[in-house]
Amino acid sequence: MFKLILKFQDTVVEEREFEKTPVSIGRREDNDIVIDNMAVSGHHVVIEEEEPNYYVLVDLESLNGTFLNEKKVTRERLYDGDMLLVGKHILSFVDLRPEDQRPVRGQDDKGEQPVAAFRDTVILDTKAQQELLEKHAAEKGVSPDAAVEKPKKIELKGSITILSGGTPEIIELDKRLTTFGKSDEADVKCSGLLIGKTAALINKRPNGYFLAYAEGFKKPDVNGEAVTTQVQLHDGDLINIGSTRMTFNLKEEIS
Amino acid sequence: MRVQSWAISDVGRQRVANEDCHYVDTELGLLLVLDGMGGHRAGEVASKLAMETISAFYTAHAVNSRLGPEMFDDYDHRFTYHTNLLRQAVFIANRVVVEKSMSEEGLVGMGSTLTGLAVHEFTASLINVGDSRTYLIRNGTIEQISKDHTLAEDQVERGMMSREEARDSQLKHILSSVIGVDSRIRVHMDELVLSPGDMFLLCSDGLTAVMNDEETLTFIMSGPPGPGVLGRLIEEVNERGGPDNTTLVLTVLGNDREPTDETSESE
Repeated sequence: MFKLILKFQDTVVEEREFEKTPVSIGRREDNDIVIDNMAVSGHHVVIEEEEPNYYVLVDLESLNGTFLNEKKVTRERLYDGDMLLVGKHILSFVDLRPEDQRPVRGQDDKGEQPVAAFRDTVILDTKAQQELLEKHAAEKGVSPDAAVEKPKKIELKGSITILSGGTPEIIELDKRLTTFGKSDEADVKCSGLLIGKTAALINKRPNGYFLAYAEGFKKPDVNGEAVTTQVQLHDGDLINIGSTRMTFNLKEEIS
Repeated sequence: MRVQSWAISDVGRQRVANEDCHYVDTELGLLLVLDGMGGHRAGEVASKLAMETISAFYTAHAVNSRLGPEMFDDYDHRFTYHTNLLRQAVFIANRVVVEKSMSEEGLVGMGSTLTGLAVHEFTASLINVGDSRTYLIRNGTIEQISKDHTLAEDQVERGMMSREEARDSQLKHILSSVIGVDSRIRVHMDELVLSPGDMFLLCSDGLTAVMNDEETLTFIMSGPPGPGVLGRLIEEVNERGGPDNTTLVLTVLGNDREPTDETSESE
């Protein structure tokens, strides 16, 4: 005898007790538990019995799979307190037999956790993902609230200051790409006889800022060294593009 | 930049159908790899439909008939027009695939991952959804520049799991964003400045299921870029069990290394 509690987005949809097996779960009307959701197969999963006293879940080759305690399974023994994920719904399994008649995970089947079928990619929607993540967090001894809170990240914030050869100003490098050159479309207009329409670009990457040469006879230079491909920029670097002089500044912001 | 590209797609040893697809337009500089999923060949429908929608939308608006920012779902001003255009194409493909999957019982739940690259004069736009990857190979090193949308990677971002734990976690098989399943979709985009000689490898997860990044790099560097190295890489994937479809698109920019022959494709 066992009980299944069907939940969808924190709400208990259905609670049913079962004496006999098999108990089938799926989208079609002829199942014992009907889940009316497109993510659930017509006949998705069935719960059977196995000698001497086990309940076993068998996935009926469902499209989106069945998860037992966050692992994708095809056939697995069930224990009191297990959590099944079927499509976007959560099913809690409660063993209602007296305690001495229930199997305990780890005592009789070497304690093996269910193992996922090799490389079967599955897709979860946002809500189901969150449930799994919170459960995972709880198992690691972290409160779900802490799991939701993002770890502190150090973000690099670069800027350039035009010193001469252009309008003196500070330009924040918030964009992934900032273009420098003679072109009207350039983010920073630079002057100089032999520089290109797009003379140089600064690229914001996860590990910092990089200055790259693009086109034109005269290459940009950083601290007096001509740049032929790309160089990483450091706080205080002096950049010359044609007759435009500027400094690069880098600060770390904790977000 | 001058773009040369080679592609190969293989069903592998354990699947009956190839649900991957790819798109290569060297003139426009657009490269896509998609990995479809869903039973009874529905995955094939999803990846192909997404590919056709994205390539057609991007091609239509990349050069002529530029769209104003008001035509976008969510124009991000930190990125260029072309990167926003690529993401908008993915938003549209998502709606198209979701709609198609509602239209037929056999297509319910189908979806597709995507990794894509658009090469411009000095820069490239990068886009991805799911776990198909793009690698940048530069100066003999390999760097994953796409971002995996898997529960394992999400855990890493939240600080709940180390990168090493994530590599072995079952959660890496669970995709947290995919084209065609949910009206809400997360799309990763990035931009980078190119240097002559840069190489990009776009791949479906048939490769990454059995090869780590350094092993992949060794194969790519084992000869001149072209069909030869891609063929050897596929052979190795299949020798290691070929658990899934594998699609590879290798692209070389500029003129640093001499290519073996003309742009070609093989299946």
